[in-house]
Amino acid sequence: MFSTITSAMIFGVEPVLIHVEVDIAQGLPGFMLVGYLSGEVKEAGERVRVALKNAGIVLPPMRVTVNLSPAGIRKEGTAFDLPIAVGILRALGHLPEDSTEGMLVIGELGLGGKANSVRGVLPLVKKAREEGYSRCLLPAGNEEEGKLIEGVEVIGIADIHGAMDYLKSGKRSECPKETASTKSRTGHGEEEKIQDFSEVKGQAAAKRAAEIAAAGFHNLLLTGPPGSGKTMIAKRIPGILPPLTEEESLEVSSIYSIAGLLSNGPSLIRQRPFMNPHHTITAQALAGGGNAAKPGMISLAHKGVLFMDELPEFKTSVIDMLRQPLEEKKIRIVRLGRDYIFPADFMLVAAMNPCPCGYYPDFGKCTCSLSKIRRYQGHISGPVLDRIDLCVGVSGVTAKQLSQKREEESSISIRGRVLAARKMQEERYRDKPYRFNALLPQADLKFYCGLGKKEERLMERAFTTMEMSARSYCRVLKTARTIADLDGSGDVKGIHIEEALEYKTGEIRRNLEGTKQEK
Amino acid sequence: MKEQSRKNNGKTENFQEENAQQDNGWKSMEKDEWEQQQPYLHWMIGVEGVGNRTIEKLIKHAGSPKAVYGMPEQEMAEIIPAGKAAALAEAGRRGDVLEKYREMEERGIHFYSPWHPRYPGRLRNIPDRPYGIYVEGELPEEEVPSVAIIGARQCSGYGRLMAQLCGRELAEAGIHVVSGMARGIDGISQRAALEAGGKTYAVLGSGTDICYPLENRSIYKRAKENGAVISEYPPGTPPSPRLFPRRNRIISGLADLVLIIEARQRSGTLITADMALEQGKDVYVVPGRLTDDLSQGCHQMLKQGAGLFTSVKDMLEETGLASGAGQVDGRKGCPLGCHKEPAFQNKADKTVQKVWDALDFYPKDIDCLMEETQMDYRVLVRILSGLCLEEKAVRLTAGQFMKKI
Repeated sequence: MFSTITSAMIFGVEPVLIHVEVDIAQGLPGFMLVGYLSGEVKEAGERVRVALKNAGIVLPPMRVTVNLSPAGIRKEGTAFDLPIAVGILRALGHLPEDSTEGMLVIGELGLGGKANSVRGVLPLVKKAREEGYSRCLLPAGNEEEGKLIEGVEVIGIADIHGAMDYLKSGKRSECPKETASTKSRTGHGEEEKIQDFSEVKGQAAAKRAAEIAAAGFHNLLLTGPPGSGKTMIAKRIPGILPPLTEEESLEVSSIYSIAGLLSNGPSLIRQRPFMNPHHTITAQALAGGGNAAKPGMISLAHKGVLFMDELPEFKTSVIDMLRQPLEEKKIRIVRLGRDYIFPADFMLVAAMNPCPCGYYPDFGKCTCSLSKIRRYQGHISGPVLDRIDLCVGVSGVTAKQLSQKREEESSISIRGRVLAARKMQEERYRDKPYRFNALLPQADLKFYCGLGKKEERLMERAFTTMEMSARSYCRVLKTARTIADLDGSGDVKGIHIEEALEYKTGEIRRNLEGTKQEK
Repeated sequence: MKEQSRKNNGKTENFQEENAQQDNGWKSMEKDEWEQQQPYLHWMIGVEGVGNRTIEKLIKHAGSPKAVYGMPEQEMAEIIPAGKAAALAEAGRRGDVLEKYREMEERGIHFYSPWHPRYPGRLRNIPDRPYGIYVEGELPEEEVPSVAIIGARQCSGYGRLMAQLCGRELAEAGIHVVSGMARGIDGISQRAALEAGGKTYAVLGSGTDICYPLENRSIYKRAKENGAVISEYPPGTPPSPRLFPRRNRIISGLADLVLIIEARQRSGTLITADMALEQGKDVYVVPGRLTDDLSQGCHQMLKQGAGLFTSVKDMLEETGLASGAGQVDGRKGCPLGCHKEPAFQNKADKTVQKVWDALDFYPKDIDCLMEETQMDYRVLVRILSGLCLEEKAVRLTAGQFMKKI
């Protein structure tokens, strides 16, 4: 009396198929659960036994052995309750032999036999489809989420009886449909109204920089005195980003599903995420991790915006942690001797005051000492600053500007230009692994940002007078490329370079003394 | 100004007499004699806790530094506190006075005591003059006028501009620039002087072998070649806040004129200015905006009768220093006249001219410039970038621009 049920779990963000093998044999009565199990999986034995009893199924006084294979991966999560129960039922002959053919079973059980919803259903069902499974047996609470994947029959069941009924007859019994709650979800969700750029008065420089950043997926740093509207601008950036593609939407939804943020959601995430961690956040919460490695803030910002307000207030270690994800667009975390790779393809938008009091370089108002300013700005290490293409000053708004009646441009019209620029990039980088100007590798820079003689001279001049590094040279070129795309221009022209120079970073520190810092 | 010097008159006479008495001593000395005295003076200065007053008492008693060295501890203890006498005797017992002095000379640090004929003449006549100065580089030439530029460490863009301008113009006129190599005005003006090919003298609040603050390393290095690094503290003395106010009297002492750029009320700069007045030097002040904290000290000085700085040329002419100096370019009146308005002749440059006119010598942000020029953001940014590239304007931090001198 042996049976195998296919289930699955999330390893980091990767779904992995797990086979639940159940053997019931003569011997000293007992319940053995093996296969490199974490605490919550070990408890599954107790839950399943009681749940079966309360469902009216009597376990014979025999030896029940359950193995979760492959035995080399540490099993985590509570989704193995239902497959174990189903496996036992089949091994006992309560279910037909072929009833679980081509079927993936996941779900948690309550002691009363009720099936409770679990995390990460979306990527698990997706994995099932990829592996050629045609049916998925899930708790009713996860049914809607599972149905987001087309090509797989998703069966939601309310309890053990529901599962047995279906597996015996192949027909679904009427189960009281769980009403999906309509409460709004934070961070994404269509219900949340995105704020519009037309509400931001003045701030032409910051708005333009946001537009360029959105068009080329560049990282952006906003500096300015307190209350000048840095946060206001950052929050509006998702509104000018192009909508998620079907593929991206699935990817983002999967991550949210794993993080348990999708459980009641009626649909895929269509809007770009906007993550706004507080500056007291730990490196782990930002990067992801924990005992059962969960995606962190940067992964939740995948394909969207990670907004770090008051950047220098973050711990230096937290800021430095961003280096790898900014470069590789993913983060590798080693937990308990295992490698987890989380996607982290986000656009970093950071905001900071130029000094602790916020008024530098206006010495009429600034009360900070130079060393204090330097220490404050020094919190952001060079390598991180190097990965930020655009830096823009946000100046304090005057009362006059606020009361101005002038119509400001709406997000929709800005988004129109962004979309056009992105389209140009997509066409240009058709056969390349990258899709945006920001990701343009140095080797291809010359080819895609070819300069004429005049432009070449302009860059040379800028290089010497502005004392640029080779890296900032490349950054200016990339930014100029995006500005050219926004203009619909095939070539990078002088006017584009001139504008790009305005967004050059790295100056925050150098200009402190008015003269260049000495080596 | 007159009122000020009158106030100090009584004191002035007093110290001048004393200084003259000492000076008469060295004038009668043979070369060998003062050369022999110097190492022992260096020894005395180098002993912790022994200050000018102690040295003065001892020399008066014994007759010369060398004689002090020969005094037994008990005898010393009769005229100075026992602790100091013990310290002196302890240092004397080591018996390496001459050797140490030679070592120091070999390192290129020269020691000048008032007995040395080359002790700066300007220092001879100040109250509480140092008993010796350590010099790396060359001493300022007596016949060349020198101007001390002092001011706030934390200066505004305007202060920076004025410091650069004054440092440069003075250097171009062949005048020595004396300052404290501190952050802010001091360092900026000295660097400007060096960059213009002039000579500068940095008076430190530490030993001459220690560079403080560290970010002014290049001034420290270059001043040794074009001018000197000077200190009254023996080599190896670490910088300490209590030493700085005292060195200020040497800064003003070495100068014929003290120019103040930006000073807060109750600042170190004002203390130096007071010392300068005490020493009978001219004080000039660069005026600032009334609303700035950094102008308060300056305006206070002006109220008390300090000279109003309008341009380097005016200042040198008014004080009669111009005759000893080279020619200052006749850039009439305005101190910033040196910056010829850029020639934007053809029509296309009209917009550039408009942006240039809107720029100022203090930082202005883009929004402000947009309002003044009524230009589209993108057009404005491009022009500003162009001006920066032509080095007519500078970008401070993101979105903050000002004219460049």
